[in-house]
Amino acid sequence: MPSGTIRDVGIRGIACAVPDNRVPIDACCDRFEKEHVDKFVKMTGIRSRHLMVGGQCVSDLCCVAAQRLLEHLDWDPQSVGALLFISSTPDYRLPATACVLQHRLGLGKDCAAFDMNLGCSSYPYGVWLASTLLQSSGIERALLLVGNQINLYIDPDDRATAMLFGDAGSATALERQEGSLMRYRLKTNGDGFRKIIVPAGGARNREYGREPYLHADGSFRSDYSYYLNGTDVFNFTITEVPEIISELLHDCQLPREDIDLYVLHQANLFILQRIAAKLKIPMSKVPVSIDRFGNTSGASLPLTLVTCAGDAVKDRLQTVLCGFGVGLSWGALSLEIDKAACLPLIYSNEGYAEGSPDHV
Amino acid sequence: MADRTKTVLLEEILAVDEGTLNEEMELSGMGQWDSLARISFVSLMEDNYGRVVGNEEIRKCRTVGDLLAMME
Repeated sequence: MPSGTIRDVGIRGIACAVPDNRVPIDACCDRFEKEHVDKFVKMTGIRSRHLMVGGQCVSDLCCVAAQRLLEHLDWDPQSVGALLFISSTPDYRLPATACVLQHRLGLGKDCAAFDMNLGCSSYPYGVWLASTLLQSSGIERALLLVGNQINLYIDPDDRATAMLFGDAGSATALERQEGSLMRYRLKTNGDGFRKIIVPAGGARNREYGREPYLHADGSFRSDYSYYLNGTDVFNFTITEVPEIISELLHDCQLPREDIDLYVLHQANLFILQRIAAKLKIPMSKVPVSIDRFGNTSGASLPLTLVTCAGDAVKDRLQTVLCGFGVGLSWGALSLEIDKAACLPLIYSNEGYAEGSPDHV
Repeated sequence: MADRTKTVLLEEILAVDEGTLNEEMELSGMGQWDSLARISFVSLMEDNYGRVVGNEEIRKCRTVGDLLAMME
C-alpha cells in the first residue's frame, strides 16, 4: 500500500511563479450575469486570478521558479540528478517537457528527466517520487516542477468552469538531509476517470468532432473541452479527503492540534470549509490562496504554502498537505518546513521563443 | 421538518425570493439550478438529513417537488 515514511530527504526550497497579469473576477461580468458571478464568488471565494498572456506555457513559470531556486540555494545546475515535471498540460505531445527544461536550466547530462501526468494530486505524488529517487538511486539533488494550465481546455461559455482556474507553476528543491522525516499516503480510484476529463485530443476518441453535443449525463459540451462533474467530485472530496488526512495523522502519531498548517488543494472555498469542519480543525489553520489566484490545479499546494507561510508565527512549521482531483487521484503528505525555504512569489510573463518550430 | 421550512431552505440554495417556489416548477427551466446549487443541496442533505446524495439521484429530480421529497 502506498503509504509510508520518507527518511533523510529534505525540502530545501520552494518557489512559485504566476503570470504578471492579475484579472479580477468581475471582468467575467461581460460574459455572465452579475448574479451568477456573485454566487460563484460566494461559493468559490475567487476574487481574482493570474492568467497567462501570449504564448506562455506553464513550463515557463516552472522554469523561472526553478532558476530562482537554483540561484537562491547556490546549487550548481550540474549537481541536479533528477528533474520531474508533473503536469497535464505539457509543452508538446512529445518530447517530454522535462527534457526541454533540463536544457533550459543548464542541467548536466547525468540527469534523469521525465514527465508525469497528474493534476491536483501532483504535489504529494511528486514529493514522494522525487524522494524515493533520492533515497535509492545515488542522486543527491532533485528538482520537482509542478503546474498545469487548465484554461487551455476550458470552454469560455461553461458557467461552472470558465472562471475557476488560474495559472501558476512551481519548483521544489529536494536534497538528501539526514534526520528529515516525511510521511505520505497515496490513493487512486480510476472508476471516477470520467468525473474530470478532456475526452478527446489524445489517442482515445480521435474520431469525434469538435462540435458540442448533448451527452448522456445531460451536459452539453464538446469532447475537446474540460468537463467536471461538480456534484460527484464534491462527494468524493468531502468523503475521501478527511479520511486520508485522518489516516495520515494516525501514521504520524500526532494530534491534529499539533499541526500548524493544513494545506489543501484549492478546489473552492466552500469545499475547504466543509473539509475543515469534518476534521474539526479551525479555518485559521487552513490557508487560502484561491481568493487571489483561483484554482491553480497541481501548483495550488506549493503556491498556497509560499504565499501563506510568511504569515505564520513559527519559523519551522509542521504541515499536512493534501492534493485531490483528476484521476480520481489523491495524496497526503506530512512534512516540517522552514518558513525561510519558501521564496517570495515571482511574477513573470516570460515565454520561450526557442520553443517554436521555426527556431533553429 | 415542516414543509414550509424545507421550502425556505431550498429558496436559499436557489437564491430566489421567499414564496416564489412551487412544487410543480421544472428544475431544467431554472437557471438557478446549476452545479453550485447542486453541491449546496448535497451539503444540505448531509447536514440536515445525514445522507450523501450522488449526481445520479439528483438527476432523477425533475421538479422542485422532487427535491422537497428527498429532504427527509
